[in-house]
Amino acid sequence: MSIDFQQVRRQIIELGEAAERSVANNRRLLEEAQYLLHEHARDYDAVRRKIERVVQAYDRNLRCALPLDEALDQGYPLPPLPGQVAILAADGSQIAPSRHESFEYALVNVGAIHMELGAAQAPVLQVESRLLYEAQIEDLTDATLALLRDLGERRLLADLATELPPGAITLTDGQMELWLGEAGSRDEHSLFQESLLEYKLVLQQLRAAQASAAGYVDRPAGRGVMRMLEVLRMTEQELPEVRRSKPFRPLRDLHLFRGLLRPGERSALFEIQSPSSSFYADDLALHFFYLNVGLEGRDSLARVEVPRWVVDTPAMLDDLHAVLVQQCRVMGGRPYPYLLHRAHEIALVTLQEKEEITQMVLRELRGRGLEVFEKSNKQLAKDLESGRR
Amino acid sequence: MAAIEIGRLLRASNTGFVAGCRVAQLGSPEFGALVRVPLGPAYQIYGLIYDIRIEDDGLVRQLATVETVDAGTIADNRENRTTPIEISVLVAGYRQDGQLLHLLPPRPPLSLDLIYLCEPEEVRRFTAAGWFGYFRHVLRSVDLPVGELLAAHLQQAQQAHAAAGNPGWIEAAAQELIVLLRDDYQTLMAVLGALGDIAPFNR
Amino acid sequence: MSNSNDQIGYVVGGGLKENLRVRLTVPSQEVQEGAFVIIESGNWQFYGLVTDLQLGATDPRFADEQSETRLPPVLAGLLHGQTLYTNLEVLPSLMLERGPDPGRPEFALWEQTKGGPVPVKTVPPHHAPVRRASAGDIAEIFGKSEKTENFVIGYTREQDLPVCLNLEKFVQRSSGVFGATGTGKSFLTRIVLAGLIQYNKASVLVLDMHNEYAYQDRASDTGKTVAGLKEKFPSRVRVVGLGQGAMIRGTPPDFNLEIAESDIQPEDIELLTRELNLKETTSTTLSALIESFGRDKWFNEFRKMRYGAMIETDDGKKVPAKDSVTYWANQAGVNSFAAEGLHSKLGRVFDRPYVVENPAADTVTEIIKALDSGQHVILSFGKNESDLDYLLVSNLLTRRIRNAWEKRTNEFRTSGKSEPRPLVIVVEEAHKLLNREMASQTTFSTIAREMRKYYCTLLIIDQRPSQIYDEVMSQLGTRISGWLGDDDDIHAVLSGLAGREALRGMLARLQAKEEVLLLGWGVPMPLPVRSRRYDELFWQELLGKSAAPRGEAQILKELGF
Repeated sequence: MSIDFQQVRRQIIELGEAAERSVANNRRLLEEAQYLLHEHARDYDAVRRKIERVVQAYDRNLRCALPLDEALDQGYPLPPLPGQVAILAADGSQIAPSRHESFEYALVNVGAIHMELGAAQAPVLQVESRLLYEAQIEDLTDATLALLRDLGERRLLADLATELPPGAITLTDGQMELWLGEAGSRDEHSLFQESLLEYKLVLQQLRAAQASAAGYVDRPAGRGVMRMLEVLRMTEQELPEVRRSKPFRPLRDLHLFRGLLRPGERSALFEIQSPSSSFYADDLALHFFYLNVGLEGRDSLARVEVPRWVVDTPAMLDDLHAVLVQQCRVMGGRPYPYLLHRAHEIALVTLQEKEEITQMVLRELRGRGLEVFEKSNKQLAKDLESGRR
Repeated sequence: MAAIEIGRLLRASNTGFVAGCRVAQLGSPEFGALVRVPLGPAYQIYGLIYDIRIEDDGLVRQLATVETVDAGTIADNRENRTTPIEISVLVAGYRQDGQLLHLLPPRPPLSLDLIYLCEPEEVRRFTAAGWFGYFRHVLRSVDLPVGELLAAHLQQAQQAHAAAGNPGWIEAAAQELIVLLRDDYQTLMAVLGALGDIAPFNR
Repeated sequence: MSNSNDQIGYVVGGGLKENLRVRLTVPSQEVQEGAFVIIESGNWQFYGLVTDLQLGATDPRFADEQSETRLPPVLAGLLHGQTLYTNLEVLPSLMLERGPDPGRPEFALWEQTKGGPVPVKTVPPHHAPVRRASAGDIAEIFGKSEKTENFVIGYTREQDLPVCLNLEKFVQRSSGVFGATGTGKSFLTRIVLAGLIQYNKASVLVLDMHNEYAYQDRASDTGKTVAGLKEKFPSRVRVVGLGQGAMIRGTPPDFNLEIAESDIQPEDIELLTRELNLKETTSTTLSALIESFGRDKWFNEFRKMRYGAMIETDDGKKVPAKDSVTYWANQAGVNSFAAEGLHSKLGRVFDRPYVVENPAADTVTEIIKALDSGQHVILSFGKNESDLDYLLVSNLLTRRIRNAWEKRTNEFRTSGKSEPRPLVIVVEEAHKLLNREMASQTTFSTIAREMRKYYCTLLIIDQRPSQIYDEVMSQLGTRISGWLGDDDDIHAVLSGLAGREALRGMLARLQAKEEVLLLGWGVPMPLPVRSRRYDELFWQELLGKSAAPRGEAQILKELGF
């Protein structure tokens, strides 16, 4: 026995009591947020101005939504599905180096899938596996490895889209913005900067190919719109306190749009206000909308991030909207874009595959008469445990 | 003639093994077919395919609940998905140093060993060696659809023998089955019922 | 000697008590009950008789299920070949050492010392091959037909191989021919008699109650005429007709037999107890008659007495006349009613025309002489063919003959006179003489029991063997039986033999005509055969065989020239 269930049980009861208290409070907060959204539904310029002022004057790191010119409290209907369109999705996975293994190496595995909507033939798969070792992994951290992976996904998509006629839709899982995490070492930051520059090139490549690009965020935790409303709620006098004033903290954007969007509908488009906004300038500026990919009675909200060139091309936006809903409906009761799921499957490196690669590496080294160390005892013990399951 | 590869070994014991292959490879292995696993220059294990199982997974199960699945998705799942087809093989014998034996092999094949389909000549040689000793392995297996397996196997093997000018092989095989099973009425009748449906007999 | 093509199966089980079981490898219809089979095992060869065929299945369901309707013909055939089978039940009878290969040098020595077949004392091992007997096998056991003592009695049912009866052995003990009415018993008897006469090592006396054997007869079933023994052996067979002037089938016999009154003894009368419905007082009365008149005269005197004769005395009283039965009874001190009753009942005997005070010739002595000299005698009863005639004459004659043979035997044994010629007395409707009630009183049962002690044996012919005293039946050496329907009869025929259960069914399933089962001590082993046909061909085969060596001179000599 490794858990004191008596202790936990007491705490669980307390948790339940707290949740009960929160529900009523949250409902009141949500009502207020909804009121604010209606109130400012069409105050596009005023809202933008207020937020720009706050950024300039009080909080340079403010992350929130910026309205464009669509009414904020409306749903935008599902456009018809384009007859023929290429859909590309990519995902990646990685093996992090472990000093407990017999030999240290890393692997970035990126998979992409290309499907012609409306065609009967099987989609085309592509996998890029990159083995990293010795110098390549000297300063590698989990964050930088993830960065390499994310960049790899998008580069692969851009390369594929370049080969296709205009109008292809490229999808990745998660937000569009490259992300290093809150804290990072200096080495990491320098790598990040390099990656950002490359990423920009990749995005430009996609735009040049006249392909749309989107990041799909399932079960989004974002609260950019909420943060926007928090700012709007404040009087001019209160604005200096903007960093600390987060009255809607328990709520997310999800809660706001859940009752607003019928199945298939998207929300208004928002631009992302964030410290990195300046980097994604002009055509690359990142925007987002919420999308109800669920079915009647079973709402399911996703957040979709797109760069400006997509927003500016209504046909692209509509195709993306329609294709995402279609892709989610392929999956039935658990909506998620089918091709993104498949890309994930393709890219995924299983434990068994990892073990195989390790064996291949060892065979190669042994074949060359090189000394190979055993796995660490800790790793052996772990393997034992997993083998038993 | 290029050897037809049907998959790689997933797990094994002395009496049987399971190979994995992708749906795209499914064209070649057939129920009842004789397969071989070469384990070295002079050592090769033979077995009969007794089950071909198409595994499901979460995705397939989820897709199956959707009202209409478009052709591209179906094609993707059949051709691209890495979900393996599991081919269960009953070990029927082995060959060591040129000698064919209908005995269980001294050691089983290993993970990821390649499994090949036997060509007619090899089927003929294996099934003609000794006196149907490998029937023991089939008949010992209580959970197998013994009659169906034997019928499928005999039909395939018969083609190899008939092509080699020995059309009487299948009668000898049927005779041997009757001898082996004559004290087990139900199994025997099930086996004969199945044999009665295959080409050399149902004419 | 063996030919693998003849193999019909292999031994799968069984034993000496329960017979051997043989798995048949040929279709069941190819083997019949009663087939003579050989089981070869190492240096021994076993001889046996198929007593039953049983259909078997490794699992009863294979037999129940008509799988040929469910399975393709090829598979059904293969299945049936493995799961359905026929087992033979084989009664092992004899075994014979095979000896070395005839080509080998030691064969000659072995052949000189080899013994014949012996009763089985062991069993062949599992899987010993079983084959049908060849002509050579049958000859090995039943004898080669070339030898004079061997007489072909019939042929094996399946392969038509000749089966011999060893006549030398046949006459050594009493024997019997049985079969229900219409099974060809009398033809079979003719065949056997013809064989015996031809063989000529024993004399035959036929008590021919129905006048069948001497002259040609018409077969009751085919309507064809069949030759009589007298016609075929004119010089060797003497026909005796009962009574003066008797004609046998329109032909006068060689002799006529009359019985002298003096020959009739009280035992002869007692033998007729049932026939004449005699009372218990009979023997007392008979004793008194012997007392009064002596053994030679009693019959004559008693016959002359008058029944119920009375005379009137001077005083007018009616008293028994002096020549009346009552008068003698009173004198002799026996119950007069008993005496009168006996006299009355003996009336039927007194009336017999062939019972005379002084016969014209001593025919009995003639008969004995003829038999003694190697001739054969058929006593035809002519018109006198009632049971009374048969019982009286057969017994009386037989007694006389037996006494003569006993005397001669004793002379041979004590004073070195010539050996008596073996005699076979053929008794038709034997149950009349040899039933339980009478057996103790007749000479026949004595003969049967004595076996060959006095060179005299019986050949019993009967359709109801169960009526024959079982002690007599069990003494019979050779038994040749046609089909019998009655269980008691079958039981009687098989009395005292081994393997009775197996033979019982075989006897019941013989073909009603022309099939007989050879049984008993006189044959090496039981065997059903298709009997020879009694026709011209038979006679050609029989007489042709030894016609040449006999020569004309001998025939003339036999004719008395």
